[in-house]
Formats: sequence, structure tokens, C-alpha cells
Amino acid sequence: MFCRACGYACPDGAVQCTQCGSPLTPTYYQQPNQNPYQSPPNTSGLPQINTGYNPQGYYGMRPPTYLAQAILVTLFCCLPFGIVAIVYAAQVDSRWASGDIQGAKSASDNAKLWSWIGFGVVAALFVLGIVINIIAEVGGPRRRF
Amino acid sequence: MYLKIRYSLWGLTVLGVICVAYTLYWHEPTANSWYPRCFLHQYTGLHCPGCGGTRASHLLLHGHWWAAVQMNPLLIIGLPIILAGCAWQKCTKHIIPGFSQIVLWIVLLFFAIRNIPSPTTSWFAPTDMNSKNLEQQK
Repeated sequence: MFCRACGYACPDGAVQCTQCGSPLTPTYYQQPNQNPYQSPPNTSGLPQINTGYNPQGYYGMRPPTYLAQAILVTLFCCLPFGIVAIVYAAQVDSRWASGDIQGAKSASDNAKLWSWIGFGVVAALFVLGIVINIIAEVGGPRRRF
Repeated sequence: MYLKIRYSLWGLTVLGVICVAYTLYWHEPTANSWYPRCFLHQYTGLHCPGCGGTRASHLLLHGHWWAAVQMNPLLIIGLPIILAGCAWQKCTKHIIPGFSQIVLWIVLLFFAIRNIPSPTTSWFAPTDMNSKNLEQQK
């Protein structure tokens, strides 16, 4: 397991980083050693907010929603793929809140997939557009002769 | 190694943003045909949630912030708030209840009202302002 603060490779199961001492977050499919119904220690210094009933523990184990990627694809790629990714991102949150861990994980995978599809299709179309422009630029004047 | 890749990706992103901002500042999107066009708008005539984003960024870089908001309110006001929310959740390890559902509904509603009653007459559709017109009005 790698420390999220300093990147040091710590032994698996360690609670604190052996290099810098910051707390280590287990990955979400790994069962924590502590009581799963116990809320995590608040180390952020910010007020604790109610995250609702969560059978599996806390944020560190929730699959990523890819919401930031999805919203960027929606705004910059101009195709409906981004909206599909946001729908899946919303499903990660709602399924996780209702305790459906497997469902949240598959929704997370779908959100990631559709963000990449949106990005890939638009990148391909832009490259194609540039190539067509270059061909038109190079081929255009010659046709007049 | 892992951290090196991570930092170089962030560096490349910052460099890319600076290059795009430089191009956007010196070249007016409505006056140059080589800017990328919205595919959805080109083929269906509908305004997508990101339409007007290039023009809005250009106006914002020239200091016309209210004109930029009128061009695309979701990009200028909504995107910083949404990204800040995502970053807050990631940094503090706290889940904001219903955050992604709210974002989904905001985007869908914005997409709808940009095209109601029609894409050309909607209040939230991109306007036909540009920075040259705005500077002449002053």
C-alpha cells in the first residue's frame, strides 16, 4: 500500500505511514480491521457532516464517482456521452448510500468508461477535422490549375 | 515513480491551460473559423450545456465577466463550484449527501432551458456579443 501523502511504499495493513506518519486509507474493496459501523476519526479539522447510513464504513472505501471528469467531458466535448457519465456518477452515490456496494462499483466503472468514450470520440473527431483541413489547404490551390 | 508521473501530468495540464488561455486572449472566437465547433450544434442545431464556452472564456479573459456569464452561466459560475465540491470531498474524505444527483439535475435542466422555447430564442442560449462590440459601446 502506498501512502497518499508522501508516496512511500508501506507494509500492507499498516495504519500509519512508516515514513511520514500520516493515516493510511484502505482501498475500498479491502475490509477494514475496525468495527464497520464506527465512523472514522475526524482528522480533517473541518466540522463533521452527516453522511447518512453507510454499512461499509466511510468515504475512503467508496468507489470513485468520476464526477469531475464527467462534468468536464460534458462541458468541453459537446456530446451526450458526458451526461451518460454524470448519470452513472449519480448512481454511484445513491447506490453507495443505500448499501449496494457491488452496484456502486459497477456504476463507478461505467462512469469512468463513458468519460473516456466521450473524450476519445471528440479527440478523434478533432484530429480528423485537422487532417481534412490540411488536405483541403494543400489540395485546394492545385485544383484551380 | 508514481508521484513523478502524477506531478508531470499536473504540470502538463497547467501548461496546456496557459497555452489555451494565451490563444483565447489574442484570437477572437467569432472572428476565427479555425476554432473547434460544437458537433451537437452543427448537426442538430441544439445548444449543448457547453455551447458558448469558448466565447465566454474569451470574454472573461478580457474582463467582461457579466457578458461571459450571459454566454454560458454553467461554465463560468457552475464549473468552479462543482470542481471545488469534488475537491472538498476528496480532500476531507467526507461525502456531501446527494452532491452528484444535484449536479446531474442542474446540467439536465440547463440543457433543457437552453433550447426552450427554441434554441435561437431561449434566454440561456449563447448571445451574439463579442469583445469588440462591447469595447465600442463603452
